[in-house]
Amino acid sequence: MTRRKERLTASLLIALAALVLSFRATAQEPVTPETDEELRGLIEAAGTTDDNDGASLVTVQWRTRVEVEDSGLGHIYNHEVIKCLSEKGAAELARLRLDFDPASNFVEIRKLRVLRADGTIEDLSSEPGVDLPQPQHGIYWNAQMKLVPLPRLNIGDAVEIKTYMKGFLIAYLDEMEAAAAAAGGGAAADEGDERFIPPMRGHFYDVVYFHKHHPVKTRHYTVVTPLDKPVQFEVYNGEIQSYVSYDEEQLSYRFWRQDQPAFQSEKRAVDFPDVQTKVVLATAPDWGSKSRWFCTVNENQFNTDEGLAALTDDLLTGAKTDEEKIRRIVHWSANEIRYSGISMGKGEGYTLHPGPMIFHNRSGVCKDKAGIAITMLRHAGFTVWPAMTMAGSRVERIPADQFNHCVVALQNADGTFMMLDPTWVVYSPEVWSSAEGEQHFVVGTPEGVELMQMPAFDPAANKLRVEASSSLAADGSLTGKVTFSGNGYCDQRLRREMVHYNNSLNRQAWFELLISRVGYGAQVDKVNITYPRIQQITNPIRYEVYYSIPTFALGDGDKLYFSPPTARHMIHTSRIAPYLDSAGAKERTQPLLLWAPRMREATETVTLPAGYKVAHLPEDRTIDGNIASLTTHTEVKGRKLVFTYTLVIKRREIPVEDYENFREVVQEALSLHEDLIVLERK
Amino acid sequence: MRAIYTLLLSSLLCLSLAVPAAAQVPDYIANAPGYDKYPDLDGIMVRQMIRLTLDASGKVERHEEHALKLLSGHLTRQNRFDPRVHWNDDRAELRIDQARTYMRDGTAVDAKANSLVPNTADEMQWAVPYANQRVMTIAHVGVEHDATSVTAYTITDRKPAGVPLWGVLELQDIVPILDQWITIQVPEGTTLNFRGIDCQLKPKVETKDGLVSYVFHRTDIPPVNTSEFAGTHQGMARLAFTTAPDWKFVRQYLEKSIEPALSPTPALLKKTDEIVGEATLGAEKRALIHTFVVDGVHSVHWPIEAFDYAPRSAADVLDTSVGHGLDKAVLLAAMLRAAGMDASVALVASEPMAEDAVAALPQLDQAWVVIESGHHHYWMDPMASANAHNGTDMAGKTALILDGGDHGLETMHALTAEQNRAAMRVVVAVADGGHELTLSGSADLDLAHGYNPLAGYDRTSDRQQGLAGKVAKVWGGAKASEVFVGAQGSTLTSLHTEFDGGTIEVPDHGLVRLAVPRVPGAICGGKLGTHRGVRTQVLPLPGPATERVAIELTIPKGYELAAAPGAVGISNSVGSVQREVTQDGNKLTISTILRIEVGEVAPAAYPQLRALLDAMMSESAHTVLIQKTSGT
Repeated sequence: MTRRKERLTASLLIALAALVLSFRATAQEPVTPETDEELRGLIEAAGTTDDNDGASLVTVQWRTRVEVEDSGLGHIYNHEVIKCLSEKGAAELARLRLDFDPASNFVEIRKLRVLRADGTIEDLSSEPGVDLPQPQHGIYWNAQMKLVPLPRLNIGDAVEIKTYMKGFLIAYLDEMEAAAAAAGGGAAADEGDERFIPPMRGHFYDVVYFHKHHPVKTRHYTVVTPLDKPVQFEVYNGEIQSYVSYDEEQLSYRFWRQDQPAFQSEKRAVDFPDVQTKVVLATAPDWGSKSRWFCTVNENQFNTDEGLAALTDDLLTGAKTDEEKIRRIVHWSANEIRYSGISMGKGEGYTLHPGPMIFHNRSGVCKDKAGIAITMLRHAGFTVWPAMTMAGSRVERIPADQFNHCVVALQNADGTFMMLDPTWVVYSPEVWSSAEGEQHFVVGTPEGVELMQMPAFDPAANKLRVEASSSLAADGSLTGKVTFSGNGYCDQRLRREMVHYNNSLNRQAWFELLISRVGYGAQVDKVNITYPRIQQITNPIRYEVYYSIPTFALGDGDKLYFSPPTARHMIHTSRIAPYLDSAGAKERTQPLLLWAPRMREATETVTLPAGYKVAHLPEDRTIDGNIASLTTHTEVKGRKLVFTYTLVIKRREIPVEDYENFREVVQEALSLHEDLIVLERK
Repeated sequence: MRAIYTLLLSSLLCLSLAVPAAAQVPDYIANAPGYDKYPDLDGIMVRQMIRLTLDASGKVERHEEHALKLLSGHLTRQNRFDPRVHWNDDRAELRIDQARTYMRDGTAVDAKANSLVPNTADEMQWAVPYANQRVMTIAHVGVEHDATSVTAYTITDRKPAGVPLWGVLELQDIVPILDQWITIQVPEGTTLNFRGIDCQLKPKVETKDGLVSYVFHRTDIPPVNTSEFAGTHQGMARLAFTTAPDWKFVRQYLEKSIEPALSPTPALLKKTDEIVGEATLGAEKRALIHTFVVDGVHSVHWPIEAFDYAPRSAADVLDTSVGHGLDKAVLLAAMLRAAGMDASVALVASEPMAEDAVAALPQLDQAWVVIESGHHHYWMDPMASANAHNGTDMAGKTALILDGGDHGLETMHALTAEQNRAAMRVVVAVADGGHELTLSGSADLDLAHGYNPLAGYDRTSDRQQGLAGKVAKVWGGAKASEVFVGAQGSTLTSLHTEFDGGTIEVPDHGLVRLAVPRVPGAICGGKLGTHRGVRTQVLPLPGPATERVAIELTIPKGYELAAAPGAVGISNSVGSVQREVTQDGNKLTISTILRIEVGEVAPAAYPQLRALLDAMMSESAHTVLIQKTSGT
C-alpha cells in the first residue's frame, strides 16, 4: 500500500506537469450527446456542403476512449458520426471498413445506425458485414478487414457507428515471455487476452490524429490508465485542448479539437505525421527501455546455419577490408533477397525472421533483409544490432512506437554506430541510402540507447552528371552525344530506371523520351550502358546516348538561334529529379520532401557550324540561397561553345520559409532554354 | 469464406505431400537457355500450359501451369513471382497444384503453407456485393536470379454455371514463351468456334472419352512490348473462343438476365424524380441522371467478364451505391427509362472488331447505355462523364445493343477527318510597352466531336469561359474578356472571344519568343508516345481528324521578324500537313492544316505519323522570334 502511494505521488506530479505544459486553451470541452435529439442537433449544425467548402462528407463527432490495463492492453471504444453532404458522399459511404489483425486484435461493431434527414432511424447493428483479407502487396501477413455495407444515403443523412477494439494493429512478437522480461514484468492478463497485449508488455502508446480528408467538427480522445502508469505526451503541428484528471483508481487524459477543415496534402509534401496536428503519448519512460526490449525480443533470431555460413564465407573470399566485407554482405542482402514478406505466424511484425529462414526463402520485408544481413555480419565477426527507423517522417521524442522500417546498426569499437539499410540500397553503391538522411532511429542494444538521428547528406554525394558534346550544322540540324552518370542515390536511381521501371523491351524508349525534350523529332541512334549485369554495382553506371535532331536551331541560315541541349535538362523524371516538377505552386503551407539533397552538374560543348560567328551569348546566372543554388556559364573558344551549369538542392526537405528560394532556383533552371544563343553568318 | 479456407487447407496438404526430398529438375527447365543467351531480357517463360474443359454436365475446369525463369529484377517488381489467381468463389473452387522453385543450382524449394495468401483486389475493398471475387497470392520462395518458378493451379466449377464457354486468351508476354500449349476441350457434339486475333492459329483436334480437344501448340513466341499499348491490347496475339453459336444467341442470353434487372422499384422511381427535379429538357434530364450514376455510385473498375455478365438489379445497385461497369449501365438504363426515355444497355468492344468475329463475349469489354430518340442515338458511359467519354468515342466501334431487336453485332459509323475537326483563328496585336510587349486580340474556335471538350450538357457558362481563358492565356497570360457562344452541343462547341492584358518581358538583347498555339485537345506526340523511334505494335489514334490553325500577328513598331515557322507541304499515307506563312508589312500570317486520314497506324507507317507530328511540334514549327530593330 505504501509503495502504491509512492507511485501515486509520482504519477500525480507527472500528471500535474503534463497539465501545466499542455493545457493551452480554456475552450469548453465538448460533451457527448446523450440523446438522439442532441445528436440530431449536432448533425443539423454540421451544415451543408456549402458550409463545408464543398466537401462530400463531414464528421460530426469522432470520439475515442481508451482504457489501459496494467498489462498495457488497451480497450478502445470508438464513436463516430458522419454526415453525407452530396451524392458523391453517398458513394464514398457505400461501405465502412474496419481493419484488424486476428493475431493481435479484435474488433466488433457495438452500434450502427443511419439517422435519416427525415427523422427516421435505421438500426443496422445486427448487420455483420463480411470479413475479408485486406488488399496485400509485398507484405503478406494476412491482415483482415471488416466491410460493412450501408444502405443508400441521401443528402443530410448521417451514419453513427460505435466500435470496440482490443489489442493493437500490428502483430509483433513471438516471445511474450521475453517481452515481459524486457518490460520489467507486468500484471498477468486473462489467458484469452494474451495475444492482444502489446509487444512491450506493461506499456501503452498511441499517436492520435485529429484530421480527416473531410471536415471534422469534433474530435475527442480520452485515455485512462492505472494510477501507477502515467502517460507522457506532447502535442505537435498545432494546438489541442487538453485536460488531465485523476481519482483514486486512475489517471484520465483528454484531448480535443473542433472545427477542423479537411486535410489536403500538397504535392510532394512531407508525410502527414509531420504536418497534421497530433498527440504522441506513451507510458514507456524513455527510448532506452524500448531499445533494450527490441534487442531482447530479437536476440535469438540471428543464429546462422551451415548453408548461410558457407555462403557468407564464400561471399567474403578476397575481401581485404572490413568496409569491403560490410559492402558485400549488405549488397547481397539487398539484391538477392526478394522483397516479398510471408508471415511466419505467431510473432510476425517486429520480430525479425531467423537468418536461415530468410536464406531458405530468399525473400522477406525490410526487417528480414536486415535480419539476414545481421546474421551474416555477426558470422563475419562484427558487432551488429537491429534498429527501428521511420522512413519519410520524424520520430518525436515521446517514446511511442513511430516506426515503419527496420535497418541494421553496426557498432564500431568506440561504441558509435554505422547504419546499414539493405532494403533501400537495391542496385545501389551505397550501404545506407542518401534518401534516409536526417532520419531518426533507435538501435536495439542490451544496454539500451536513446533516439538518434542520421546526419544530413552532402548534395555532392548524390550528383547527377550530364556531359554532352554536340555539333550544330548550318542547316540547323544537330548531332550529339550525351552521357548520364551519377553517384550515391543518383547512381541507384539511374539503374532502377533500367531494371525496375522499364521492362527490357522498353529501355531504349526511356532514352528516346529524354532526348525528345531537346527537340521534337529527335532520333536516338545508339545507347551504350556500362554495366555487365544490373545488380553488379561495383562500377558506377554510365549511359552514353547518341542522337540527332534534323530541325534544331531556329533561323533562316543567315542567323541561327538555339540553346544548348542540356539547358532542357533531359532527365525530368520525378524518380531522379523530383525538384523539377515541384516548384509550380506560388506558395506552400507544407514542407516539400525530396528525400535526398541533390546536385546536377551539366557540361556541354557545342561545335558551331563553320562560317558563323557568335552574335549573342546569354548572360551567366547565379542564384544562391539557403536551400538551393544555380550557376550557369557560357563561353566560346574558337568554334566551340562551352555551356555549364550546376544546380544544387541542399536539403532533403524544403521548409515552407525556404520554398521561395527553391522555387526561384528551379523556375530559373527550367527557363534556361529560353536564353538563346545567336549565331551570324560571317 | 469458409470454402476458401477449406480449399486453402486442401491445397496446402497437396503441396506438403508434393514436397520431394530431392526433386529432379525437369529436363525442360534444366535445358532452358538463360542469361548467356538472353542478356537483354528480363526473363523467359520456359513453358506455359492452359487447359479449359467444358464437361458434358456443363461444368468448366481451368488448369494453368507456367514455368518462369528470372533473369532481371524487373520481373520481381511486377509481382511475377507472387502471382495472383483470381476466381469467382460462388461459381468455382481453386486448388493450387504446385508452387515450386528450382534454384540456380537445381535445388527444388516448395512453397510452404504461409506462401498461399488469401487476398483481395484493391478495387474489391469497396464492394461488399462482389465479395465472391477472390484472389489467392502465391508467394514463391527460393527465387533468385536464374531460378525458375513453376506455378500450377486448377479452378473448377462447383456446379454447371449455365454460362457458355467463352474467352479471350493472351498468347504473348513481355518475355519470350519457349513452349506454349493451349488446350480447349468440349463435349462431342458441341461446336467450338475460335479465331486468332493478330495471329494465325491452327489447332490439332483430337477426340477421346467423349471430349473433343483443340490443341494449340506454339514454340519460341517472341515477347511483346506492352509499354506500347495505350488502353487496348491491339496487336497482341490472342485466341478468342466460344461455344455460343452466334451473336444473336449471345444477345438473347444477355437479355434474359439484363432486362429483368432493369425493372424499376418505388425507391428507384423516387430517386429518379428527385434527380431530375424540375428539368424539362430531355438533354438535361439525361445529363442529370448520367452525372448521378457516374459520381453518386462508386465505380468498381474490374473486367465485367469476371462476373459472367450477370448483373445485379438496378434497385440493388442504387441501394448499395457501388457497381462495376455493367451494373452501373443497368442502373443508368433503368433510371433513364424511369424518366421516360428509351434506353438500352449495350456491350461495346474498346478496340476495332469485325462484325463476323466469333461470338466470344469477352471481346466486348465495356458496358454503355444508348438512348434512341428519333434518328439520334445518345451514348453514355456509366463510368465516365460525358465530357470525358461520349458518343464520339463510339465512332467505328462495334457494339451489341440489348434492345430486344433481331440483330447481332453492329458497327457504328466512323468519323471522317472532315467531321472530326477543330479550327482556331487568332488575331493578335503585339504592342511595344517599353520593357515589355503587350498582347491583345480575338480568337474564333470551332471544336467538333473528338476535339469538343464540353460535350456534356450544362446550363452554366463557366465551361465556355474556362475554354476561352485557356486559348487567351497562351498570349502572355492574356485574359478572355468577352465570350460569345455560337454553338454548344454534344458534337460541336463554337465560340468567339476577345482577350487582352497579355505581357511578355523584353530582355536586354531584345529577342522575344512567341509560341504559336495549337487547338485545345490537339493530337500531339506526348499523348501518343511518339518519342519512340520505332513501334512494334499498332498505334490507335483518336480517329481521322483535321486541325486548322490560322494566326494573324501584328509585329509592333521597332521590332522585326527574326524567325518564323517555315512553309510545309507533306503528304503521306497517314495524312498531311500544309503550312503557309506570309508577311505583309508588319502582319505575319501562319496558316496550318493537319489532316490525319487513318484511325490507327501500323508499325510500318509509324515514321510517317512522326513526320507529320514533327512538322507540327518541332521548335521551329511553333516559334516566332521577333527582335528589336537596331537603334530602337
